[in-house]
Amino acid sequence: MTAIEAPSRGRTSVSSKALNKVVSAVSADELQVDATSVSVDLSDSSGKLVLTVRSPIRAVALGRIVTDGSLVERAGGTLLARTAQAQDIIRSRVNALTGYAVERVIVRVTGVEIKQEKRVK
Amino acid sequence: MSQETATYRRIQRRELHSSRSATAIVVAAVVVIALAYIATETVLALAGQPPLLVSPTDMGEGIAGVAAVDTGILIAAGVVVALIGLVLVISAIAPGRRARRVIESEKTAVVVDNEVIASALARHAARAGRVSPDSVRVSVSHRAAVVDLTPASGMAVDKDAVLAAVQAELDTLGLSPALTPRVTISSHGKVGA
Amino acid sequence: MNNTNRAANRTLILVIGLVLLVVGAAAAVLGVVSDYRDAFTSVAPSVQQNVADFMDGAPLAGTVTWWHIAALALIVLVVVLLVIFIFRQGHGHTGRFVRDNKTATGETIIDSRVAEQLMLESLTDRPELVSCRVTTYLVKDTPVLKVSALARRGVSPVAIVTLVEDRLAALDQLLGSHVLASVHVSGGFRVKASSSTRL
Repeated sequence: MTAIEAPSRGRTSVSSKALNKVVSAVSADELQVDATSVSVDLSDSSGKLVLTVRSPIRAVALGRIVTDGSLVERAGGTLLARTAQAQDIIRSRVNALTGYAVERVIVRVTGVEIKQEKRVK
Repeated sequence: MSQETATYRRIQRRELHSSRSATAIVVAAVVVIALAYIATETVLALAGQPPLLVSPTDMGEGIAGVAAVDTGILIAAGVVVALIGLVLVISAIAPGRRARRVIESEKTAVVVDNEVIASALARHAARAGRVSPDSVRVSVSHRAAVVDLTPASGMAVDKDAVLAAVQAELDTLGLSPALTPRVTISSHGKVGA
Repeated sequence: MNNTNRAANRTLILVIGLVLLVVGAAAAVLGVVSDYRDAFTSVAPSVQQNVADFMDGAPLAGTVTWWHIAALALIVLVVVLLVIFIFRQGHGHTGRFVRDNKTATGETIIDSRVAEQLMLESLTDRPELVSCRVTTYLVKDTPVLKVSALARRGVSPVAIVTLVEDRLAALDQLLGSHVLASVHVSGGFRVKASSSTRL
């Protein structure tokens, strides 16, 4: 999707609901969960936009990490690293898609969706 | 002592001793009921209504005239109340050790019920003594683990082997406070065990 | 194991206990020593009268005085405090883990539920355990994960501890931050030894 260019005349504004949907979609993508599990809060802080994202995150089962020490790295890194990365990406993609500058992204991980190994029974 | 070790020590101490929560709740509840009752009687008296049981003035007169009560009853009641008070005081001061102990570990604060240790020791003792696990009784107290074995009739049990097996298992556990094992072989056996 | 204020519990029990002890002993002594009894009988009614007069001293409306109101207010206050005290027992289980990575542009908070779900999943269906419970509580503002494991009969507690600690290390690795944890192993003779039938 191309960036919205500021038109020379007039003004484009994105509704709060649309913005919410964009943030949800981007967050769900980054955290590898369903967009319906994500809850987004938009707020203003002295004229700047602050996003609060509440969502579970996809993770591998601990049992598998015990047997495979490098699994965390291969599966995308630690949860803290992934959320930090998600914040950056959320910020830049929201800016690119809507033109709004995001001051702060707060990610609250509310749960985990544990990747189960596919077992052949 | 690092902050983490300090926190773990604190957790262990708390896990090993009773919180006295149940007693505290009962005491608090009784006090609440008593105070609520007094307040109710006071309000009723102030509103000019008849008392539920005893009006505050009657209560006051009752306390003032308590010396006139039959001395036998007075002494008996006094002793009973004092005893209840004593039990509470002891409950508040006594350590209240629970039937569990610490397994030394660098990574976490670990607390184990004595019963778990007892059943693990029983399994090892049974194997070393070549009897079924049902023939072994283990009881773990504050400092000792007593293993009581009932042999199968006709098959002698090597007491030293059992003691060695139990001691070996205790050594792997790293308990604090440590347990001293004692093995007794019952003089009568069980047929076909 | 939780966050109930243990010192407060014991203090309350001690205070009430001492009061009962003193009152009971005094009553018994009154019964035994006739001199005290006589002294009490002569002094008590006038003391009671003085207290009653004092309470009637600052009238408000009708027979109600300020002292009555003050006494009632005090009783209500104590009752409320004690009721709060009762309901605070056993709490201290916390919802937020607060693994906080605060920068100027972002912040991450991880709920305790995350650690609990991960640990619980890794300990379910293990042959060494009958069941397992994972909760989080605060010890002096530090969140601590508590793993309560019910061991199968005869299983060595060390096996359970290793099992749990391995998974805690995996959790640390996955989170990217060290988690404080406590483990409580229970079980023993009253637990069945064979594993349940799985269909």
